[in-house]
Amino acid sequence: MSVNKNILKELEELVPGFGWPEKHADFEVPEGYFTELPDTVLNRINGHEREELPVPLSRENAFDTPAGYFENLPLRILNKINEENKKTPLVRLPRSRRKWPNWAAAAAIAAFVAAGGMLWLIPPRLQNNPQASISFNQQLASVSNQAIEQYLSTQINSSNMNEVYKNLSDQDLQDALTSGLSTSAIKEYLQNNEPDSSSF
Amino acid sequence: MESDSILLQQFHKPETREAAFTAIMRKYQERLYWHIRRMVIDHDDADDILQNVFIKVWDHLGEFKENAQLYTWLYRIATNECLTFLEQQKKRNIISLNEVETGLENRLKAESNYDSRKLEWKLQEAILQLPEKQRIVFNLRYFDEMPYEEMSRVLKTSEGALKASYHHAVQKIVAYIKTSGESLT
Repeated sequence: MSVNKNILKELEELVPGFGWPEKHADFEVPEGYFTELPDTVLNRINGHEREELPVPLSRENAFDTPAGYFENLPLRILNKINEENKKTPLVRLPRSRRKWPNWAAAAAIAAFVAAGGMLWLIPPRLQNNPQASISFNQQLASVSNQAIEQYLSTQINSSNMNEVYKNLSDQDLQDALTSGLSTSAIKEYLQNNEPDSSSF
Repeated sequence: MESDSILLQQFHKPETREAAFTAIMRKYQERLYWHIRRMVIDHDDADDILQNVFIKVWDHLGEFKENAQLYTWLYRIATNECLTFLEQQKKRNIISLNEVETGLENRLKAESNYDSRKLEWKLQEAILQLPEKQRIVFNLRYFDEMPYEEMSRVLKTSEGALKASYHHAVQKIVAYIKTSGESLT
């Protein structure tokens, strides 16, 4: 195919004396290509080979869902939750096993604290006055041990515990510790309930 | 050969739609093919692109406004498809623009009729050195003899800018041929 004369003239004006080619490079094209092309394209358009077309990227979701899927979804989930709740058996968690020595040790400590607490409860102004002290002890005797233990277990803390210890003699401590409590029970209690070092 | 206006009217009627479309393909296929082939060099690539161009034309010809020229619209689609194809090649192969150009040059040299001593093939080599948009402008003017006014509608660029682009392209081609071709026939 030859180059248009007007184009050659235009080029000659732009670059005088260059000598532009007067024909086009002859690229090879398969024989009958242009005869067959319209049918090839129509076949693709009619769906025979349409799937080969690159699918343009779209904002629409390419996946399909069953009809009415999203409309029914909340109800289906609620039904499933209800069914699951009916099926699920009530499982009782096993209660933590407590050994009787723990209870015994706790009782001993409570008794020990109660004994000390008696003295701690006596106001300091009465502690050096024998008459007043006797009167106070008589009043205190009318209060049940259970009530005193209850009070001490909720009111005593590590700071006023020191006051309890100060007022206990060695004999009081010995009596408290040997009142029906084995040494192994006390050891086990202390191992399981490690005391706060700040208390001592 | 029927005018574009009549072919478009026939395309809008279901009973003559395929016949009208076949006529449009026969009328423009060679011009569009060569426009694409000179951009991508390889026949199979050009064939794929051209088929996709015509399928897009089929899908959107119903929306085509008759106040525009069908020929211009077809060229615009073909040009965009070429640019998209070249862009995809760069992304797919993670290669630079230079490597794409080298690939095109290798394909050119693999053409059965290629002859490096002939000026028309040297010109093709030189064209491949141009930036893509400048290459399109040169091809549309030199091979398709497209008036700047029409080219402006195809590429949506001002006529002045297109003339400047063509002028730069010509200078680069001349420089390339002068430095590389000493025994041209």
